[in-house]
Amino acid sequence: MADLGSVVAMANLRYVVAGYAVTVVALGGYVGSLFARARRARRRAAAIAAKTRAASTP
Amino acid sequence: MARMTARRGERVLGVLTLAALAASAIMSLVVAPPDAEQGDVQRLMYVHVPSAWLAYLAFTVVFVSSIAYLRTKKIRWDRLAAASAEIGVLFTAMAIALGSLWGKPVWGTWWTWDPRLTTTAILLLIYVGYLAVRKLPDSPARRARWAAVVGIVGFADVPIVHLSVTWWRSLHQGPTIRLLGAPTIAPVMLAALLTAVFAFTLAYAYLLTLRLRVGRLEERVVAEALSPRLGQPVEQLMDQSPEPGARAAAGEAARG
Amino acid sequence: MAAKDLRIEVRGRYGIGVVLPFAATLLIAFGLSLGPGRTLLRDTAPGLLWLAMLFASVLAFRRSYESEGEDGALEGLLLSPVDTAAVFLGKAAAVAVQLLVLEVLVVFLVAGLFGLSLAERPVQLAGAMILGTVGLAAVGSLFGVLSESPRAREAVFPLLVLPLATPVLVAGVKATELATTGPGGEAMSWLGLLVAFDLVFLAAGTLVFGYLLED
Repeated sequence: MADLGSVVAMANLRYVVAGYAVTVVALGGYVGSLFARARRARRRAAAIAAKTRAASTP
Repeated sequence: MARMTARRGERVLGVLTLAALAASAIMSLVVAPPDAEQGDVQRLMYVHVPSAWLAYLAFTVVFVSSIAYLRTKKIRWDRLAAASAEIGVLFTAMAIALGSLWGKPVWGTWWTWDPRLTTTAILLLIYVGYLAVRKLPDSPARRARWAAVVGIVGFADVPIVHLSVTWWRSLHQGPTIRLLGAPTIAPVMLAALLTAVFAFTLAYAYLLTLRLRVGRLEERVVAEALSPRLGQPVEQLMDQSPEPGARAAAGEAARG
Repeated sequence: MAAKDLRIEVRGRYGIGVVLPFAATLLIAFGLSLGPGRTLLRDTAPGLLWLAMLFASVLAFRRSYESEGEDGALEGLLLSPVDTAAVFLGKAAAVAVQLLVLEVLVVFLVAGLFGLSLAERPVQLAGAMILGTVGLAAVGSLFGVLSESPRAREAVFPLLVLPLATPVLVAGVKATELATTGPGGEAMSWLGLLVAFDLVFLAAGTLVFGYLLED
């Protein structure tokens, strides 16, 4: 009976691992996407600003 | 200069968050004992419960800033609401996923119409709706106002939803299966749970800081594009309220 | 406000001609998909009734606000010194009446198609109908302004209303179920929940509606 218990417990470890993996991936992935968005926005703003300056100085 | 210190502060917060999460993981996976009934699977409580709590905190922030925005029309409240809502949706989705992962080995199925899980699913839908309203092709003033209304009404609705689903569920089965098992939680487990909540709260603060910065950067893009056309300096456009009335009033005040 | 309500109602009658067949189609589809077994149909009838009401009311709101938007009637209201709270409550009341008419027809449909007994506890049944409809009307009137123009806004409206109206769905179904079968008093607590929901939404709506009309 004790063996059955430990077999079940081993199988259930899968869920614990999956759960903590989900946590790490979700939080880390979101942080990553935020940094990517920041980089993209900074680049785009700089590009527009450069274009504006070029247009206003003939 | 101010921006440099802000970035450094953000980095420090990030490092602290990482440290806290690591410490929490050690507490949850190693220090805390396995549950008497559920075994190691119960360790999912240390990520599922804090996710849910932080989601509620995030949406409370949305609620308060939505009210503040409607009353003051200051853009900083709208920015805060938008950022907190996005993070709240993330935590809600996490809470549901983790709840399912916990439920499958304990209850046998991925979904059991448990009142808390069901209410959380509806909560997710409500705030996905909030984010959808923010993306509508409309005037920024309208978007902000609409989103604020959803942020307020949605928040007020959730307790009623929870009540209705809990009553509904209790009709169809006797004693509710409680995810926590024992009525009183062992002190070690409580310590691990509190550590996890603390770590997740730091994570929320860090994510919020990041997301606010991203929001400002994305607004800057729009401001850079509009500035030559409107003849206004970028900095002024950034701080302006989207509401024409408030803008006019601010203009009057500036002119004295 | 009364004249406005009447005007809305007249337009509403035009709307019912489209919404009722939609509800009927929905119910027949449900009936077909659940099979001809009488017990199953009778047991699920309250749920199907309220589902049909939910979806039909989404349609009804879209139509009612569409006609308003075309005339710019809402903007006209802004110029009048009428209290925005009165505007909201007036709209909600008008919509509620429309929905109630629809509901009565749907209830008879469901009774016929699914064998739901209406005579058991008619007062409680009526209470569930009215309170649930008022709740739907409150939520829909608040966000119905979103359906004003045929753009992406229209798709967001059901996404917002359906989750927010969950208590109406749950309590309405339970109260209807208890009012048409089973022992008596239990329906009252669900009716109480409906009252609470209605009060919260009507209060929130009156407080917030003014901000939505600003343009």
